[in-house]
Amino acid sequence: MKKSYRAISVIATVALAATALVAGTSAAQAASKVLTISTDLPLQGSSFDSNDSTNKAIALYLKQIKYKAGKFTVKLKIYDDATAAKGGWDDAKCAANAQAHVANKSEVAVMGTYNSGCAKIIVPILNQAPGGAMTMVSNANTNPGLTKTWDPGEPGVFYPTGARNYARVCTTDDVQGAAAAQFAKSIGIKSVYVLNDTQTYGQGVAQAFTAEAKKQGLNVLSSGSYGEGWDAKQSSYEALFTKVKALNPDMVYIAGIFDNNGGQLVKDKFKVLGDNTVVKMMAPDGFTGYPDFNTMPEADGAYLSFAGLSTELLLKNSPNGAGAKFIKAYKAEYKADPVGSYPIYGVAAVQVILAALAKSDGTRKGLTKQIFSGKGITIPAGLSVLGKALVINPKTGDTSAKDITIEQVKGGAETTVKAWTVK
Amino acid sequence: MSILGSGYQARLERRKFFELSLSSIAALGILFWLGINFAKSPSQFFQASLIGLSNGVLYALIALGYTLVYGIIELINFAHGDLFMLSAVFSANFITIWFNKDSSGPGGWAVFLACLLTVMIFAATINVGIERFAYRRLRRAPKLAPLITAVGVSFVLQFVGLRWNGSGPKTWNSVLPAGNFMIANVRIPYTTLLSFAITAPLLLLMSWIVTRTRQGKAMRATAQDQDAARLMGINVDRTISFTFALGGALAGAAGLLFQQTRGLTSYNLGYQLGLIAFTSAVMGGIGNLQGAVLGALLIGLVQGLNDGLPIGLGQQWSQTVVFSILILLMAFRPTGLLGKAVTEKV
Repeated sequence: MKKSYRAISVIATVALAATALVAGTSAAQAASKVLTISTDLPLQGSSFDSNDSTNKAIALYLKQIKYKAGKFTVKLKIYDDATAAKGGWDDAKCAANAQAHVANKSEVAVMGTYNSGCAKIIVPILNQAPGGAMTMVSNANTNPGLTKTWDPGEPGVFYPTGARNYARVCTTDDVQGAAAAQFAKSIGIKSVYVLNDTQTYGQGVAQAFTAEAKKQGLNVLSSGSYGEGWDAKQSSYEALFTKVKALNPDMVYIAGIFDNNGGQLVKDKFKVLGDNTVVKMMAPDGFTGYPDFNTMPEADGAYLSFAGLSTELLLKNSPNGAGAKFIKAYKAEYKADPVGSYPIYGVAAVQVILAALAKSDGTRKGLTKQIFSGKGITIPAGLSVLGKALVINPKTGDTSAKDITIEQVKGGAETTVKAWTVK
Repeated sequence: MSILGSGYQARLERRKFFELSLSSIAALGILFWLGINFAKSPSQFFQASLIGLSNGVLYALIALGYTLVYGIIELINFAHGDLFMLSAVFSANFITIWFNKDSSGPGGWAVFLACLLTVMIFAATINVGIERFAYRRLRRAPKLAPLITAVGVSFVLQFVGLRWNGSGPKTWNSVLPAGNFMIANVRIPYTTLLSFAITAPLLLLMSWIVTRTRQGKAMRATAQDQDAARLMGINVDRTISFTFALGGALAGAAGLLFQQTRGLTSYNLGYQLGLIAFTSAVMGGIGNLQGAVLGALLIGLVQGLNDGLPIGLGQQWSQTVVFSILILLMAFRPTGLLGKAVTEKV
């Protein structure tokens, strides 16, 4: 009997020691576990400058926080969703990147994409990742359908498992389009012709603008719910603008991205309709952050809307806040300003990912759960690079902020006109 | 035999009647559409037509390169559109970067004329090089071999354009006068006049070379039968090289005109404009010089009218309209507008 007690106590002691050893090892492993977060942005074509700036800003931010998120060490992996052949985002590359994100076992979340159309390809693949959905947080996707009811089947079609895994830190095109229409009315515009680039993003923002413009009593001269499409492959838009000129609009609203032959479009608008004092031109954020556009003489005076707060406004609203400090640090590090305003929103998206990661068990599933359950993720005003609290709605993934900035191209640069709150 | 013959004859007549009725209905529909638009706004009608025609002359310059090469060696030179693109990029660099001219004035015009000559030599040399090193060895190979080689050369030129111009479109200032003048409410840009003024003599010169010169006679003989031409003492290789040089020179001029009138270059420019120009050549009757010009002007006009008239399908449908017309035309007239049915050479 004594022998058996002795044997039991020996076994128990060994078991306890083994448990302690295993626990100690796990804790040590967790503390030193290196996880990857990635960015997925177009790094070829006209939007290169802005997206390269976003990657630089994120790299700097990670350096500032010493690559730590709670108990985890974080490293950055950069993906390019553009091809040289397209000179911008490419649907096949987006799909390939999505598979690569899922296959990279150390990767826990993605910051991106820049283009809504690309997000619509990537999100469903990440949603079905084996072992649990992988989160993507975008700094620049503004198409409403990604998170709320918009086109038929949206947003459910992007979440085949039924659970959400996509969030964004900028506001959406229903807000942006409405703000642009309200602003147009405020500067005395009576009639407008709407053009779109026939892509998901362009048609979405054109639709929102058209609906609000009609509501505001503006005379929308283009037909259809999202105006007329311009063919990005055409070499001339003079005939198109000849038709527009005959209708004598006060303004042309160009809904789309600059990559879609925006340069030629703006040149031909100038050639046929005159400069932006004769017939005004306004475009959404798809034309922001493009030095090539800003430096065109034909772009001078064009109005732009940005689906967030411009860097200039961030500095003005909170001159001593985290955002202002970060922008100063960026200038010191890279000897230049961030290109456009989306780079700072890229850092804001990374803040959301890292906050969720810090609270999680270090798995994709755990990270996703932190954002899309309970109270979700809030970055307090004192820490947020946006200079105000950043709250992500756990049900939709949308941000609570509905900030819109109206900008104007002057002297080859985007200048802030005012912040706009949708009425 | 006579019963079978009359049945076949009747079927032919029915088919002819059906084709005639269908083409008459289509023609009436188009006339009705044009008439309504003309009545609605004559000035807009003429403006859209002018823009369409000015695009058409550019297409014509490129289309002639396709049709010349096809006419002589029955090869669809898919790299031709990309040669045009390289010429546009060359012109932009020549005028804006190497000679530092970005505004209109006597200096700019002089550089423009120098560039016209240089870019024509540049494109002609490249085209002759392509023929010498990529196509000549394949002249007696099965037809698919040179065709796929042409596709390969097209990718090579695109890659060169990509490295030279970058992946995004680039905008450039023009040295041509930017203004315009009005005639009866129709805006006529000086650049459009210049396009016509440069294109028309080039087309006439090319037509003269092909129809009136000894070298042109050699080209026509080579096109008809290479072996017979050789027996008659014609240097076939040199004649084919000359044809490539001629086509290349026209693509070079088109590249300069495009770059200066549009103020834009892009490495994938050749794909879209090359496709349109090739379509023009087919529409006019591939191998027929006048047909290529007619097809190009027609396509430019259709695009301009569809994009610019008050009642039209709009620009996003322009490609569909152009290719629908091509399909209809091919169905009823497979040889194109001015093409003639020929028996296959054996």
